[in-house]
Amino acid sequence: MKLVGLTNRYGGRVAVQISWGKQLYFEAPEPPVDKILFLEFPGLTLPSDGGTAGRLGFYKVQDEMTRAIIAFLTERKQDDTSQEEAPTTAEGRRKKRRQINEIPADFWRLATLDDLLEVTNGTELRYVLTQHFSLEELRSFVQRRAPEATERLSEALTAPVGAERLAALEGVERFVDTVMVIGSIIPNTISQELDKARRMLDRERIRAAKLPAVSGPEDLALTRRIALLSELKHDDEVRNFLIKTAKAIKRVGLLAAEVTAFVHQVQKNKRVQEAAIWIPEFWQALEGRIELPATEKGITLDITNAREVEVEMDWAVFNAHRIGPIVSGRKALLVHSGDNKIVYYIRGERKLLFQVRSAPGGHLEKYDCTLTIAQAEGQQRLRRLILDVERIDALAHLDPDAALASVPSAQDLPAHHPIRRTVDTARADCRQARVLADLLIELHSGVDADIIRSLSRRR
Amino acid sequence: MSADDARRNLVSLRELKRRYKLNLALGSALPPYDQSISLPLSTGNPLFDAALTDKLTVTTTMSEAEHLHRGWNLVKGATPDEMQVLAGASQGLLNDYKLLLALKAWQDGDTALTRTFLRSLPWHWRLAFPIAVIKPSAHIFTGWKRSLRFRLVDAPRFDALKELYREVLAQAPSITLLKYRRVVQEATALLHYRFTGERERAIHDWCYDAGNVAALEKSVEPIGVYVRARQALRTGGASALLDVLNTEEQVIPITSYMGMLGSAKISLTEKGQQGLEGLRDYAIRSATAVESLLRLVEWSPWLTEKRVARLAEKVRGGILETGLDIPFFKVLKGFNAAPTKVRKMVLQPLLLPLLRHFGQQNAALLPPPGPITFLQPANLIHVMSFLLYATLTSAAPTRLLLLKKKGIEEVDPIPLEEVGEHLADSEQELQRYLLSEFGNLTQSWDYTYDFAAIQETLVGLDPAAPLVLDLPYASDLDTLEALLPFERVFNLGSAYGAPGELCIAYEYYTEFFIGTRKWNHSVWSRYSDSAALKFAEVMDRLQIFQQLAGHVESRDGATV
Repeated sequence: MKLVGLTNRYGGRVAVQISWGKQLYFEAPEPPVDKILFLEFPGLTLPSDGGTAGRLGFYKVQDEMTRAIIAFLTERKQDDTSQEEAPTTAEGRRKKRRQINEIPADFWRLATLDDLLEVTNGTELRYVLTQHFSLEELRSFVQRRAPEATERLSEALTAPVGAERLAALEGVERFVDTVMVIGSIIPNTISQELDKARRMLDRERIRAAKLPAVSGPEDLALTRRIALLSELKHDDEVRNFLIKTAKAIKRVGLLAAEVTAFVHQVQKNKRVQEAAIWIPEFWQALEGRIELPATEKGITLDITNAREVEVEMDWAVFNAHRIGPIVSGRKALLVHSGDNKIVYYIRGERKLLFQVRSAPGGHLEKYDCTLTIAQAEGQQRLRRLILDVERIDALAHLDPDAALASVPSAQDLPAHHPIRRTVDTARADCRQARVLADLLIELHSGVDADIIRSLSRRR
Repeated sequence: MSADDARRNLVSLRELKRRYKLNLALGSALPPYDQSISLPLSTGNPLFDAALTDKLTVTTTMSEAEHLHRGWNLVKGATPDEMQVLAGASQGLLNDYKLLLALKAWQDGDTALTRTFLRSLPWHWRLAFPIAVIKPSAHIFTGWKRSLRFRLVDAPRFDALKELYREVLAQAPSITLLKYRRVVQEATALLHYRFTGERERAIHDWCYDAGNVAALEKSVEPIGVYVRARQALRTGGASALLDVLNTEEQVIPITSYMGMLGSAKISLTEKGQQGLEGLRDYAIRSATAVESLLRLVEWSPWLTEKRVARLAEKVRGGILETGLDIPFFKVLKGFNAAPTKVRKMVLQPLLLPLLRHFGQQNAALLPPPGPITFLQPANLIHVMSFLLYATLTSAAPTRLLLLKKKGIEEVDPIPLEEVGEHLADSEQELQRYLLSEFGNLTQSWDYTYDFAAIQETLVGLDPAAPLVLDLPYASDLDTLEALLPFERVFNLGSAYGAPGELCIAYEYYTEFFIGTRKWNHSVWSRYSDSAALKFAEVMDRLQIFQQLAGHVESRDGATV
């Protein structure tokens, strides 16, 4: 049986997984890790030899193949060491449990592309071939083998249609498949080569810049770093360089004002900003070191639609309009305002919404700005009502009379009205309190209580 | 009654489950998704159940206010007998309910019972009692709800409350007054409390002024140490702060210390800070054993062998020798979250002694007959459930049965010391251990098991002894049948549904999913990440459930 397999490391040992479910190890000397091996088990054939995935089912073939190999290796080991087959003592059982299956050194070697034509599972590793064979190796293989494949296919097609054609095609199927699969990965390999070259050039540029080792703020050379950033071509290298710089900034504890100025500089380079549009490690390293002062003064902002968020640094927060100083990692209110959906961060938590809601006229002076909650009928009515709903919901349980009093349209209800009667029963029964809350919420908002309650929870 | 008789009279798990189902049908038990500690058990008494599993927090369908309303109505209707039973078990109740029960006792004018419930509360809650009486929203809720106006206790009885608070303040260690300054301030303001005597006047100064008078009053130390340290920090920076702290015998609590450093923008992790090593040493000195365990992650960048040795000394003196009950899951969570370097450092001196301690605590919650049998697959070693096994092995007789594709293998006990050694391993090191101990088993990803062997094995076990199952993807009717006679089955996988079985914890993670209206294909991984953590919590709850359920049975004969 001839196979190919990719090596990995487990528990300090080199292993190869030749099928789903089982891993095999190696006798010394072990092969290198992360390499494709050609494995040959002399004299071993599949129990249902000749069986293909089509006939036996993919997993069954794999399972049978693995069983056969393990049995083969176990038998060979027993020949060598005459181990106890069914141990009766605890020590014997422990020893048996600890056994692993090892492939002898003369059963494997590093695989070549030509080996793939010989083995049972030649196309199984198609997705990793680009990482293990160079563009030149692939080109040379296709140059040698592609004409042979087309020639063999042409020859098979000369057979008369019917049983002969079938047999001829079956005979060339695996060979043609393997050659064509290897040919088909060449475009992808070219992209990878290009990618590699760009990375290499960027790394050379970074090396050539000879930036000093950072042991204090004076070694950071931020101006040189920004200049270097604009020369880099590979997105990953741009990101890595930015993250390394951010970590160095963190290490030496650069002042917040200087860090903020650096991020502004970085932002000026559009190419860098594009490459680093998603770069959480950069922001994490600078956490707490970026100043986010208030940017707005004297404006009036409707915060009816605001929601509480935990401020997580990114470009959007860095560039947002801010009412009051914002601190990353802490809570703030976020609102998108106007037709252009301008992002505003407002210092404060959700209770600020309730403060504004209950302030006279529905507006409150805060951080040199005026915060408002929509008051006019029809103006974001439901969003405004969500605040009322929460209040009614809590009061129905804690103080049913106050809940009733907080709904203007409930004040004129007659004494025998079910809502008024529910107020009495709600005091002693939390299920009735829930009913009262539902009735008052629906009366006040005109919307199903469960729906608006769940909307409110989501905010 | 002898200890054996008491054990025999314990209400069984299946009976607790039966009572829960009946109470759920009657609408007097919360569904699992609205319990803060989700356990399908009932003592038979809805008040007792709520005091063991219900917290005043948002759950799937209920708000805090709803939980409070329900809880307060249950507590308000408590009979004197029920109050006495709960007072006897007050240490095991949840804090929210201890407080509600103290409020009920206060409403009834029973000061002695109020004191009993207050004594079982942490100091923060005890000091906040007047707030809970006068303005409960400020203590119970957060955010905008803190400003809601309502009262639970109809008449606060201000004069009596002031007298009670005088007693509480007199008993309160000064260190708690230092920590909970704002609570004392709010409580005394609501009470219009008149501070008398030198100590109380010092407390007043601490709460309402700069604390300079308090700094001169020895009876409220370490408040004085804190005030002097704060002053030194303002005028002379970190080195002056250290001069003050290191010359004082009394130590300020870690929360106050870190708060002071935070307001001065001093970080213990940032290099270049003046007197950094001294500041770090003081953090170690000021933290209690429990606090230091919970701060392992935060302190990981600067913990050294020497500092870990000092922490270990604290744990020995503060936990192991005193037998202090500390939350196992919090310690393990802290340990697991710490970087490998710190885990390696604290493993031998700190964690393993604690694990032995937890093993003894947990084993005590699983009375005879034994042994405790663990049944799990041979090829899926979940470190957390394996740790649970090893922890209990250190304190009680156990058996470990490994389920294979063919048959079941009983493994000789693997001691905690051996498993424990690998808790701080890197992935490679842990793999190496698993490979050396279990060979190819750990690498066999074949999920077919010998269910016939499970049934045969279960039939041979004592159904009264505890059985811990960690079987993945296994829902087999014959296994369920074999489990029917068992009294204490703790399942770390999805439930079989046996009457004596309790599902502890399991986690499924989707690795891959693709689906259309007509078909779908998915790959799942199953782990028992929270096994050891939840097991400890459930065991603790179960014991109190059984204790309180005994009272319901003995009083009512019929339970529900």
